[in-house]
Amino acid sequence: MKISRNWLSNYIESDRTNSELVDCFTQLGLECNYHLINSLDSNIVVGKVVECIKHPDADRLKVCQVDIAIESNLTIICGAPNVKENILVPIAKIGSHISDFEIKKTKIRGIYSYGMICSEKELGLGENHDGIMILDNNLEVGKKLASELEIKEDSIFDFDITPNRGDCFSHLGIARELSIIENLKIKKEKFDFKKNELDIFDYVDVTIDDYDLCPRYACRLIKNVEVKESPLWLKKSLAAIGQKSVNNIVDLANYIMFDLGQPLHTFDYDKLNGNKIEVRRAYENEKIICLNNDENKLTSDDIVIADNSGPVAIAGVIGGLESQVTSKTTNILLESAVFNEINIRKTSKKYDYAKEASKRFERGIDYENVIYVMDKFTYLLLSDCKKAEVSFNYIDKLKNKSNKLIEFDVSKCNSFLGTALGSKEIKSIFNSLDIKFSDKKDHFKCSIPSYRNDLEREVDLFEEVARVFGYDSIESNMNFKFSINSLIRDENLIEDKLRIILSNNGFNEHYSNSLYNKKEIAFSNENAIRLMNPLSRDMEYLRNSLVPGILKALSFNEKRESEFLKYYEIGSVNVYDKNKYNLSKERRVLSLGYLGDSIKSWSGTKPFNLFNIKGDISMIFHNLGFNKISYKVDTIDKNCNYKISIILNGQNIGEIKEINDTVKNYYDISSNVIICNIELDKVNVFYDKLKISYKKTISYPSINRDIAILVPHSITHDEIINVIRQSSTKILRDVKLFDIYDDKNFDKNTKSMGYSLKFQSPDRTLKSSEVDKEIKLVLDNLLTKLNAKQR
Amino acid sequence: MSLSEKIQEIKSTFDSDYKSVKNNQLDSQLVYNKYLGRKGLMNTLYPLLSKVHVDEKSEFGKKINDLKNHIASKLDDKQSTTKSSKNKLKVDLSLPESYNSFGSIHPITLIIDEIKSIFNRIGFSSVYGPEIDTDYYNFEALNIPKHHPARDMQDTFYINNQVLLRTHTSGSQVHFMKNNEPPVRILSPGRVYRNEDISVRSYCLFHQIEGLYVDKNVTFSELKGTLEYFAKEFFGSNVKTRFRPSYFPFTEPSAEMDVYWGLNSESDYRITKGTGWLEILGCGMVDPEVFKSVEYDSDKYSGFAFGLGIERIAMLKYGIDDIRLLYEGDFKFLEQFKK
Repeated sequence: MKISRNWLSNYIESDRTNSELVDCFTQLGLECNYHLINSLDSNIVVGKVVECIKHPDADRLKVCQVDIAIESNLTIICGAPNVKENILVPIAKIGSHISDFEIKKTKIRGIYSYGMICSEKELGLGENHDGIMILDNNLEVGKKLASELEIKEDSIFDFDITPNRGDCFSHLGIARELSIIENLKIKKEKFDFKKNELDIFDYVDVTIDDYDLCPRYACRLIKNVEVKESPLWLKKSLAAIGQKSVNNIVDLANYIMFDLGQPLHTFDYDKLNGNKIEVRRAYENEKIICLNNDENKLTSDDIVIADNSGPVAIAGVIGGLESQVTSKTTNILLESAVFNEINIRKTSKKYDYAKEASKRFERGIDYENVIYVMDKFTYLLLSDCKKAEVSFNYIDKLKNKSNKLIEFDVSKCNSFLGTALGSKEIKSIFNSLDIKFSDKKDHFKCSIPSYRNDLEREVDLFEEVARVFGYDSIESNMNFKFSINSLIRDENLIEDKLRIILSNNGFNEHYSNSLYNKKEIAFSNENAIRLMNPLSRDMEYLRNSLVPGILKALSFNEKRESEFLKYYEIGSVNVYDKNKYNLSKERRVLSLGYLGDSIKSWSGTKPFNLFNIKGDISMIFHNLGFNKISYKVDTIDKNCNYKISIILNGQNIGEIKEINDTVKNYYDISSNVIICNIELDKVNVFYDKLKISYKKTISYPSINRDIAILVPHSITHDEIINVIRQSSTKILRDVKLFDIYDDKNFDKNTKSMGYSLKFQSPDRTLKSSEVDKEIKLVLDNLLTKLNAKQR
Repeated sequence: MSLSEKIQEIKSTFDSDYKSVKNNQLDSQLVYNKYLGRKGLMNTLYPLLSKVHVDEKSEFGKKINDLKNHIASKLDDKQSTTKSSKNKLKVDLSLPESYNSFGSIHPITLIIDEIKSIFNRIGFSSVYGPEIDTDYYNFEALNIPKHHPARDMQDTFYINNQVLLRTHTSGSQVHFMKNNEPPVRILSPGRVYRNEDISVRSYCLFHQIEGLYVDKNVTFSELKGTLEYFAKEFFGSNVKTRFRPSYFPFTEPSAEMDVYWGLNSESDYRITKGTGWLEILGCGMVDPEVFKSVEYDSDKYSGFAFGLGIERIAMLKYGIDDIRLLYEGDFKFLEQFKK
């Protein structure tokens, strides 16, 4: 919201600089910044073009002789199409500043120019930049332009008002805050004006259906007004805060709203049907054509002002077209009212008229100010329309309302804020806020001014005390105290550990957009959550898998010539679950993504295959403290060429899959992509139970024996290991695969596998003969159980 | 063999061994062990010493020691010369690593971890809330009733009229307090969503960390102290902070903390709107209405809460000028972040 400093000075003066004021307001909770307007350099003067001839060396430039009431005329080169002799123009003399640059003596195509003739836009006085600004002929040549045009420099403060501070949506409201800063009272004038022998009750009667909808409704009749262009002071005031001028009536109502915070409405009295005005809920489907020509169908949440024939305005939101003030209007009915905040909000949201008026009604306005506002409007209107006649009385329908009372305890306030304020300091704070209080030692009964709709509880007053005393003046307490009872184990600890493991092993962590399109959620067969109001069709669902996010990132990088990449993301996925309070089951997942099937380097290209991935996964689980995970080939789904389940302690905790061409085409990826998903919630259960128990190391020497066997291709390494382990007594320490060999000379269904067996006893040195016996047993068993022959 | 002959013999075998060491035919450590090791030849001389006549003992003792020193000094020389000759590694060390496996940690994680560790030190534990929540937890219980103007501050994605994507992590406060009695001292990081167009400055989702402390006699002054401690740890001990009044429906009084960023560059002017101050977090004393929702007695307990936007802090800390970079997954971007 824009506030003009000149306007503000009607209420209160301040010697502070603009940036000091910004600081002070900010410290009070009113964030703002400022800029200057109408700041014309005093070296810009009125000049008269006495001669204007074409520049000898430039077709579009003219050489002008300009009289600025000094000894000799100035030579100024000008390129504007509208420059001619005998006009008055603004002249920026040498040394003056226009925006950011300084006007200097310059040589233009061989001729010196001693200043500049300016356009409206260059002076910041308008948008016109088609040519130079041509001034009225009655201005005095040589005088300062600013004084001739009666332009007064102003500072405009742009405030970001928080939703609780409806009272600050006006110059008066900001002036009240400034009075806290300056510790001065504000000047609030009384407005007296001539009243006529008009009894409003002869013209109109108001009924209010429900005072909850409309706690106060006042109106006044003003006859014989002249609808015309606004007076200059009014236009200038509105222009300063960025408002366009319409006519004197509309502008004045606007002015009052920005001045006092009370939106007013003016009806063309002669367009009202009958003399009964009713404030009521709209009937369902009742229609009104509004000022902007929209026809709106209303509902019972909307409050309307209605005459005999139906609604003439949607209360507090927008007026009706029919009863609006036009150039033909002569008699107006001025309305000043308070409406229910919630209804106004519902209505303005629905019709999307988030306008200045409804914004103020929604945030609550000053109930007690309603008549004062009407008086100020009338007074100002009368000074512009001398012939206007004003009803000597006005209608004021209201539900009696008294100021709120709040109990306030000084010691409670101090122990809440951590301060040591005395009653005296508190009293002076309350005085500056215009809060009246009954004077009891350390315990006050406070009466809240009618404009502070936000103050309702004692804690709200604590905030006022803190705000006026100054947040920065409250001492910071760094004696941290906390109870052991508040400490809790971090249930996502495993994620921190995983990130370190993965990133230390060449994986890059990715965060993806978790809003997916329909194709992307089809990647998983679990039901995804759909948004009612998505930003676009491309972001209609909440993710049910991390994979599409990773695929997008891999695709992005492949296009930028990355050759081999390892990515991962840890995040939540959500699946629809009608039994949950929030309709969803959220779980934490780790997904890995590999792009490419070889790693290139100057030292040679290294293939990257499934066993490297197995290596990564074993590495991850090993680092988490798990010794054994196993893998099982799974049935494929529509997205992959193969799928492998990862099994931990007998439970399926994840999968590895090679992404097929259909999916890769969708993401425009050509390299090989392998994905691995790990269900962290499942892993976490086992992780919590992990215990390390130390086993004594053996110091007796070990004996190693290698065996090579020929086995059918169908026999797996796991099966062989199991047979070997089962065959041997407890002196077999370790079995390692050292070779797999396939040879044309073998039976075509067989392969050769070489194992190294390590024997060791915990309590003695083994004899070679013992080991021979073990080996024989192993080979016998391999032969009988797996048909594996020794080579 | 007499002791004298024995000494002589060891000396001559050593001298020939030493030649081989010099020619690099023998390893100096092996030779050292052979003569001076625990089971080395020199140690076989000492038992013989006990058998010589008492008058000759000191003479032989000296001879043995001389030989020992002779061997030790020769080998010492040799060891230092072999070391320097071994270091003549003939490779081009400026070649890159053959297969590097540098990974990276996402800047959002780095910031969350840093903030978590700062607050963990003063007893804040981490808890987590759901991304999909209800109007009640996200708004109502936080004193943001329907049709409250504060709802304008947060454009919300809805799943139905009651269920939504959380717009802030503040709902975690409500979940936690409903299930736990004071004292409460928690941090809750997580992903939140806003129905806002994607641009250089805003994204439809981002991350927040919520903090909450509830106990008997918690004061505004402690809130300030806690967050100033955080600012000092995070931005450096010389950081200048200020607190100014603000408005959040779930805290009263409410505040925002700014840090002084300075005005040293054009971008400083832009991001601080010419003031030099930069908003870092929102905070305040828990509003009694929130305590009412979670059935805490506000006459008995008080508390404070705060919330930080992670992306904003990451962008400031690392000088990232486009929020979208954080979710694009560009390797050239990601690889720069590790710690």
